[in-house]
Amino acid sequence: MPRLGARADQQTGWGTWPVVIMTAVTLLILVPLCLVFLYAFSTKWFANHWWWPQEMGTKWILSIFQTENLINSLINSYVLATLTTIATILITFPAAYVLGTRARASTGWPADLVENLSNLPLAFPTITVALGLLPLYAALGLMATFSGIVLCHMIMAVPYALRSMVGSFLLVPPEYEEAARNLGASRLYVMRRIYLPLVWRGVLAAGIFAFCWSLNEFVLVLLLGFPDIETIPVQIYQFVGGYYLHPQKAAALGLFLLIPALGLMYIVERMLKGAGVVPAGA
Amino acid sequence: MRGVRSRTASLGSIGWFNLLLLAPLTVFLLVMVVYPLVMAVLSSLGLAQPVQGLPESFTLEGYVEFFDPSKPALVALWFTFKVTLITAVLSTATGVALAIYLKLRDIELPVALSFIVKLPLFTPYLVIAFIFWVLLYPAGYVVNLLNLLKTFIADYYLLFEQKPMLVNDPFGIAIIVCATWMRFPYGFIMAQNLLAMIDPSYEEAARNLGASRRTVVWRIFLPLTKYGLLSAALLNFLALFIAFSIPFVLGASWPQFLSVFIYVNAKDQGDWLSGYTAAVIYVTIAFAIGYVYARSLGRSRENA
Repeated sequence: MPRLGARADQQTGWGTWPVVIMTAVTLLILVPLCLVFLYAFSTKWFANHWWWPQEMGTKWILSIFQTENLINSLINSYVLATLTTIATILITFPAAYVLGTRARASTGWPADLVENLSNLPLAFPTITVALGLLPLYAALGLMATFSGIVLCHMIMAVPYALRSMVGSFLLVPPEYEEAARNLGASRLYVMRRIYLPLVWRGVLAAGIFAFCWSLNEFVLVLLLGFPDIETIPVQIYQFVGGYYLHPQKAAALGLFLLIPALGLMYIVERMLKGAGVVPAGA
Repeated sequence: MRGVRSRTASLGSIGWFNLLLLAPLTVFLLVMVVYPLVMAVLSSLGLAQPVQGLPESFTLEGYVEFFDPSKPALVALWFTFKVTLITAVLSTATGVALAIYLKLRDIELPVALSFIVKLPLFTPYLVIAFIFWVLLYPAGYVVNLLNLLKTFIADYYLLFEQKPMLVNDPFGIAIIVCATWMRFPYGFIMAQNLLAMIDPSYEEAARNLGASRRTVVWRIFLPLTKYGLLSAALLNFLALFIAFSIPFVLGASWPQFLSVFIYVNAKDQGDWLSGYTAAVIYVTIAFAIGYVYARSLGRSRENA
């Protein structure tokens, strides 16, 4: 007669415990995220009624659009993120083509150098790069300028974008390019008619990584842009870590980071089928 | 002579057009990544004076001060290391445990649930910091729930004499809780991918020979995935070790995380030598961890 323990040992598939455990995990993840929405839409919340707000509404969301520096933060964040995305793709796309195709063989050690250098920021405390850039920015007049912030945001956007695009180029069989070139196609034609239709997913994912990174970046703006340039993360910090505590306003601003970030990352997940790059840092 | 000739030959065969395509990124990385690093090293040694207040000749004063046990820098480094290590262990262990449980039950998560598990990795850092700040601050849900609990566990009432300090606390509780929530999906994803690569016949053979699930986990799953799991733990360690936003919002005024210590010293107090020195030591440790991570990832791929 088999032991009872041994029978329990054979259980597979969804049963009571897996459902309980996965429900707990889902709640542990979703409940904290829902707090952002709860705070953003709570217009009256007294301390003696701490478990739920007394009144809900869009007051704090609307207040963002009625406060000049908050509107500016929103505009700054999205403009900076867009410019960072464009600049990152422009600078990494040609390199990704070389690193991800047979062109790499003709470049020798410089390709390895670029690849290794591009990995450096992944293990890089951002505060260090900000300190190192301070004198350079001061000398070049880049302090608290849009171009300066875009350049420093690109530091962390480049490794993720490059990985994503190189991965896409690696998936294209090299014979396609060889056949086209043998038939007289120019490099530009090959890029336009062969590579672009096949690697656009990787380029889009790279753009999304760059956009999300720039949108979320905090310390570089704080050191190299603040107080002339304020972004959403800087404003959120001022509402939770500064002198004027206001969780509701912080949450309302947080929605402008959270919704685009999760929405765009969902697209990346769908495109790369779960093989997306996982960001480091915090 | 032969070496020189072969090097000349390899340089001669370089595709100049392809090099031209690499050039913009190379220049960018040299100026924006290598230059700041070199500048930080030189400034910490007094060999460059990019800002006022730095020594004007070679000195190791910054390093001597950093490693002086009576000075605060070592406390900040130790605090950072301790909090990061606890977080790396907790986040990786939680993720691995969940992945092993699902593997043993032969459960494949639906796509939607798979995405939900990854959500913390994609959530903006400042939003995560905000979430845990409002959860753990004195008027937040966790503290209020603990206060409610004290009426049920009168024996432990003393624990709740005062509202517990869970955020901006000197033990780094808020940082640990927040970063564990944020990084456990990475441990889960890595463990799930590694477990999926194990040949199912190993488990079947062991089970046919009467091995229990515990034996399968300890004798098959963990030995075959150890390098991959180590690399996941190291990346989780590195992710928090180099972090700024979360310790800046959730950390105490003292002890500080090393990144916050550097910021406060350099930007707020104008002690640039201390800031640059701590930054160089910080980068060195981070790169060392990054190197070990790359090695363990390489070993993991060899094993696969």
